[in-house]
Amino acid sequence: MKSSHFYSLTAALPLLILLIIFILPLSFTFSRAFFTQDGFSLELIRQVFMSGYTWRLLSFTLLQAGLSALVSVLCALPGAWLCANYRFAGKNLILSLSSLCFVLPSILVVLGFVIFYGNSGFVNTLYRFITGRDDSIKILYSFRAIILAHAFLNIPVALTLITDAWAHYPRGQENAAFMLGASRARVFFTVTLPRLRPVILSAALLIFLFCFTSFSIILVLGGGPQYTTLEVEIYRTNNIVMDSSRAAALSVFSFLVNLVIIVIYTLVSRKAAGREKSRDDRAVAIKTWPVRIASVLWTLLALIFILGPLASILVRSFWSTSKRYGEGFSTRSYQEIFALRTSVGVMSDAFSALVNSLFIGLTVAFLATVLALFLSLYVAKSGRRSAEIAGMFPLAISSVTLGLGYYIIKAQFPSSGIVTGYVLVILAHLVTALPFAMRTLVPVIRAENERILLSAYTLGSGTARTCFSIEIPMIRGTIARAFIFSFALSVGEVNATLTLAEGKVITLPILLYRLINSYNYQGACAIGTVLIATTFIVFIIAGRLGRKENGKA
Amino acid sequence: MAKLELKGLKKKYPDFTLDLDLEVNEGEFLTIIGPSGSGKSTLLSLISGLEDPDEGQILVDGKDIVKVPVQKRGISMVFQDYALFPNMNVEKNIAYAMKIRKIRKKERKEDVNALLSFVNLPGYNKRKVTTLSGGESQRVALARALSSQPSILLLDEPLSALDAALRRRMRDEIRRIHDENPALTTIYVTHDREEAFSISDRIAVIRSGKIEMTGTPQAVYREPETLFTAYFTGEGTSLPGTMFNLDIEADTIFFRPEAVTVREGVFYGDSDAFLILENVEVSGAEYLGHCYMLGLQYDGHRILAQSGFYPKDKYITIYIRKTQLIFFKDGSIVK
Repeated sequence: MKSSHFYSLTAALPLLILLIIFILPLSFTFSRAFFTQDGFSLELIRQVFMSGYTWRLLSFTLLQAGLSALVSVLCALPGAWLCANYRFAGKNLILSLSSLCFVLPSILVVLGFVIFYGNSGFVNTLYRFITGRDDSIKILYSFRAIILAHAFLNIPVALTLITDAWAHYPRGQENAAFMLGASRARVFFTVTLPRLRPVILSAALLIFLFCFTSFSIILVLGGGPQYTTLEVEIYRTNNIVMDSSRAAALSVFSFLVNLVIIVIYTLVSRKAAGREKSRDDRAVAIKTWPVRIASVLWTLLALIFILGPLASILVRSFWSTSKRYGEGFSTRSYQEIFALRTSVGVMSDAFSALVNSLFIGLTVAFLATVLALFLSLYVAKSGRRSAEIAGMFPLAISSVTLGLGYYIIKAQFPSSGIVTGYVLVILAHLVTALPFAMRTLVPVIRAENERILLSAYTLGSGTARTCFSIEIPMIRGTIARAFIFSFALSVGEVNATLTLAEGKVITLPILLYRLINSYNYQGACAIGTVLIATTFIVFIIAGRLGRKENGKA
Repeated sequence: MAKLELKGLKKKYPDFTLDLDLEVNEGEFLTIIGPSGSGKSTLLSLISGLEDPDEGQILVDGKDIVKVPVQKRGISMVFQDYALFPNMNVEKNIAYAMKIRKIRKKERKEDVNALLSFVNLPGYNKRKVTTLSGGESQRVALARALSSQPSILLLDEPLSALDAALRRRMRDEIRRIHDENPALTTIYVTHDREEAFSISDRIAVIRSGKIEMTGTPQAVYREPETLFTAYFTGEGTSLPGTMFNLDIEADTIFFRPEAVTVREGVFYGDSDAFLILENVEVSGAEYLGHCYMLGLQYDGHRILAQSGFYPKDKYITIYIRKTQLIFFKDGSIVK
């Protein structure tokens, strides 16, 4: 094909923006870490690297991330087996719920956990009811709680990834092994599992990466200094100890560790991609009773596990425990959110937080999707690995590090107005969302049937016209997915917003965090319900837009 | 003057080089056949402009179009997997090129309908392309390719995804479409020789990026210029020239299975007109319906013979018609 510069031209501006919004905060953080009043110095970095505390933090961070990944994948495997191999009632519901879980803000998960597993939560009420005792199982504010919350967020990720791969493996190889006399167990361990290994590994690493930089879950559920990770420590050092230099040095450390994990992830997931795929679904109807019972039990368990925390948020949002306003059913919090009733304290910001979240979320989702689209088109066409790695690079800086960077930038302006606050928050969210949007788009564009575009060229259509009239409409579904992911990431973002906002830009999750801290659970749950509803509505709308005209989503 | 002329066309790949000359006349139906990896599809990509040659000229009506971008060449192409635009219905697929050429809506509609009835799919306008069967997709792809009113139509193994019965039907359809557009020059790529024989005015046999032979279907079958062409265009047997006393300088004798006559008992033909081989062992047979294809062994050589019956004896005598012998030296024909 005569090389058209269309793709590189349209990618140039997004690339420039990406570089600026990504490199700028990073270089500010790094300069803070490497420069003291006396000029360049490695003293801060040396302190961080030599401190036993840093390494203890690292080992705890690695431990919780590793354990979370292990637990998530192990819990997901039986479900993936059922979903990939059998058709049963509830399967599609669980799979859709799973992909919804994937886009739920983690602060919501924290809230759901507090309500569902807390001392007066559903699980403990049930426990007291059954045993007749007065004590409760301590789940929250422990190592267990962190792992459980991470599992809640990530079992769906593992389930979706593994099921998707498994369901498309043709049965031929297994059948051949059966015919050669291999037992079921033998076939599973010698044929099925080796094929799944790359997917399992890549899912585990992805979850490891998520949990490694997990922030709000640790911040709220961890509860004590003994359960502090690198990210939380960076945040604490900067925002509570107010030592941005040390925080910057810690960021450098965390960045380097992240980089290593990402390189490993990229290498492993390259193996997982491009494996054989059959068009047929390998799922068959269930024929035996044990499997049937297993499927019912699993469906119920999954429903309770996923919906339990979410439903308890909804229920709790209508339940007041306040002595002042009376106990029992109440819509007070909702009235406060929608500004129907003036309120005092944290809830007074509720309505503006909702507006802020929607405005920032939609802006970020739109920008991220458009930028990611043209970057992804370029990356997929050029086949250059460097371009793809450049797109993956931002994954290596956690949003706390980013927040710190923007925080330092912001400190350069003597009087930063509310507009600067918004701009910085949007930019910080954008950097977080962009790599995810690209990760969604690039593989799909790669898998496109090139001949469809070639035939448009032979019909006289130029590169630009082909791109806009055929290529982009063809991947609508994926573009919609990228939009949802970006929106979800932005609307649930706590870390960078918390670091940057300084009380000026308040979004729903920030408010949620404050409400949890001030034990106003009804308010928190009402905000949580609004947040769930917002995510859900965007999820549905974008899903519809994607399906339209596409034949299949 | 040829409609399309390829002069010294070269395209190098790490493991393969295309290097050929070819002429196609206006209104001609030329089929390119060759084994997979021989460069058939590459050739189409070069002609259509989807790829650039390293050297050489592509002349259309005597004008070199190598520098002309794919969009402006007026050459249409139908792909093996049809490559219909999945985000558009049938009508929009076909109207795509017309829209680019800014044809008015009303005319567009009429043209789409005309094309749809031309490919025997009237009323398919609003159908989603994802709901079409293989044969229907094929027809839509043809209609779409014709919609830009090309003077040259390229077809890249368009029937390979269809089942045998449908393939036969579509083959006739494609030829009909070609014949009803007298100015249309069609270049058709396939690896199926029967398809090539039935559909083409002329066949070009290609092997590792080079043209082995061009000629009418009859010519490539009966007088193949190379041993490769002989084998690629049909079954046959080659025997070393030294086995017979020949007054022709050839190292290989080639003949088709139908050149061989198998007789049990007395042979009444003119024995001078045949090469006669005695004590030929019958080593196997395939029943083809209308005849048997016998696998024979003679002096360590395998011979294929067509026969109306299955011989009773293990050892038989065969008669090879001399006029149907083809002689080769170093892989090329000797006349």
